[in-house]
Amino acid sequence: MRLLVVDDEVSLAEAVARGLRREGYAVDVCHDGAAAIAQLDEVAYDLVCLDRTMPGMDGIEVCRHIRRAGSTGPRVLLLTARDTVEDRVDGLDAGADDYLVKPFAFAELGARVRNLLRRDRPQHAAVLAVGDVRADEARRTAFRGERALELTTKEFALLRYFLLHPGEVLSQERLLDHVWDHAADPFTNTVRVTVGTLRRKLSAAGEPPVIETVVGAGYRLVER
Amino acid sequence: MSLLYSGVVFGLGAILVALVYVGLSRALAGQPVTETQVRTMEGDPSCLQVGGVILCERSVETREVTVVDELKVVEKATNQRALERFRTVAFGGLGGLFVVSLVVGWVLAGRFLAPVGRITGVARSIGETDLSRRIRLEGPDDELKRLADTFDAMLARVEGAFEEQRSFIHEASHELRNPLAVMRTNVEVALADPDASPDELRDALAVAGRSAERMGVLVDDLLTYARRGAPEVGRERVDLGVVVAEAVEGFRAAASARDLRLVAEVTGTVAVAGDAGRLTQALSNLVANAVRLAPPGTMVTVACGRADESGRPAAEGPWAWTTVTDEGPGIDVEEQARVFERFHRVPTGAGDEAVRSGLGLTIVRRIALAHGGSVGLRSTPGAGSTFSIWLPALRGEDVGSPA
Repeated sequence: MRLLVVDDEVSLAEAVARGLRREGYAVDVCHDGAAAIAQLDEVAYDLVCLDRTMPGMDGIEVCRHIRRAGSTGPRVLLLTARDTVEDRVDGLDAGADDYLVKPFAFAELGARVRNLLRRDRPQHAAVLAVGDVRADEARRTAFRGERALELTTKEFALLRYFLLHPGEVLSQERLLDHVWDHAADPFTNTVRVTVGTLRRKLSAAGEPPVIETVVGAGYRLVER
Repeated sequence: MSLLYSGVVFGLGAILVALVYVGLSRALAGQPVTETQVRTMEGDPSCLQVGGVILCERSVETREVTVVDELKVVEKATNQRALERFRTVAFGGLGGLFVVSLVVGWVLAGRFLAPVGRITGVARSIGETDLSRRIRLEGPDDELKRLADTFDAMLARVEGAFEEQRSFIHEASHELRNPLAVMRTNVEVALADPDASPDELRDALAVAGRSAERMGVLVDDLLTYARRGAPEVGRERVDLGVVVAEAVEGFRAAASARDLRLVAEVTGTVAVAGDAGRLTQALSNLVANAVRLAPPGTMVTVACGRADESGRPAAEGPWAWTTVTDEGPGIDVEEQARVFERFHRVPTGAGDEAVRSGLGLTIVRRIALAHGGSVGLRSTPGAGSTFSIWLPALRGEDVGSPA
């Protein structure tokens, strides 16, 4: 899941990004509306945490830009210090999916992000499951059958992305785009390595493999 | 109300009737017909003339007495009858008058007092609804219309003040929320990470500390702003030259730390009526901005003087001015219009938005307005800015006697 955090308060944006990265999201940060739009045009983000009041182009304008660009744009969570009813109506009318008033509890931000990302899925449960592979996003735990998996943050993020797109062939580029952020070097074999370790951990007790390699196309999660 | 009115009318009617009655009865009693109108006929002393009637008798000695006595009796009876009749009519009239006045009073009082009722209604409904209601009384320009108009004007002022207060609180809370959010999120994210290194924790603490500092600045300025919100200022004689000297002295250390030359340019005495403390604060806010933003090695000039109506320097002009000129980056034209707005922070590129409240220039403007003056800004991007405060000058004869 690739997220963009936009806030002119640099230390707030960085802290939010740090917290979200620890929850296993790939997070980029920018500090004004124009930079946000440039980023959004370049990367297919799954969700944008957008500050409402920024100098120059504000959050509402960025939001309108996203919605003009198409219906399959990212989910938008507006972060704002303004909390009157009119402010909220404005934000939601501009196309925001949710609205969170500053100062917020980070736990709530995390819950709202998970909730927004779940909306596109067929099953709205907090626990993702395909076959005997399960991932609990809120607790950040994963299981193969009854066996708990010890996953790094990146492995968990990768597994979540596979669980969200069961049966689909996911290319290395797509995984890099949605699971890794700008800090990742696109020319390394980081995707291949991480998929490899995840695959090993999923079958560590001798279970049949669930991540297949589709030669020349990418990887696929199959139901067992 | 109408009872009082008809009571007064009745009383006045009664007094009038009583006066007429008393006057009449006096006049009737004091003017006997006999003395004025009974005369002995000229040329014939045996005849008496009463009005146009001529009475003749044989015995001249007795006839006059008898006739006069008889006439007196008749006259008295007539007077008595007339007065009685008058009394009856007067009492009847008074009773009628009382009833009519009661009705007329009721109707008139109702008509006259309807606007008062409306004013009362509006005043009462304001507590229940909002301050946007007005009486908007139609009709002739009389006392009640003027009362209603005064009331409307007062409501407009109160509503304006309320609106100002409300939006100020709204903006201020918004401004306080941002540093709070920075603090809270940083602390929560740092605490939630069991593997956070001491450096990461230290960073989070440093961010929280900076946010707290910023809130401190903001709260100080909010308090200043709230106090300066009242337009009341002292009215002693203030020499702007002294204000300039004080403001410059206060920033000398800060200026030399940034390698700036801070210069005061004062010629003669520039006197205004006002509050020395507040004027010093206003000028200090301007100097603080210049000293904070001017590029090292440049000059910041603080000056004061007098000017005529069109702003040209004039020794005996009606305006006193004090300016702060820097050789800094200048301010974009679009920004210039907004610099004095509340919570507006001009992007300075200094990366210090975090510790600015956005109230400094607003406070300057408030103080200038409270002194009957204004503020100005002339800026050329790339060449520098001149912020000015304009105040009504004390004329020569005013000097020494506070206005």
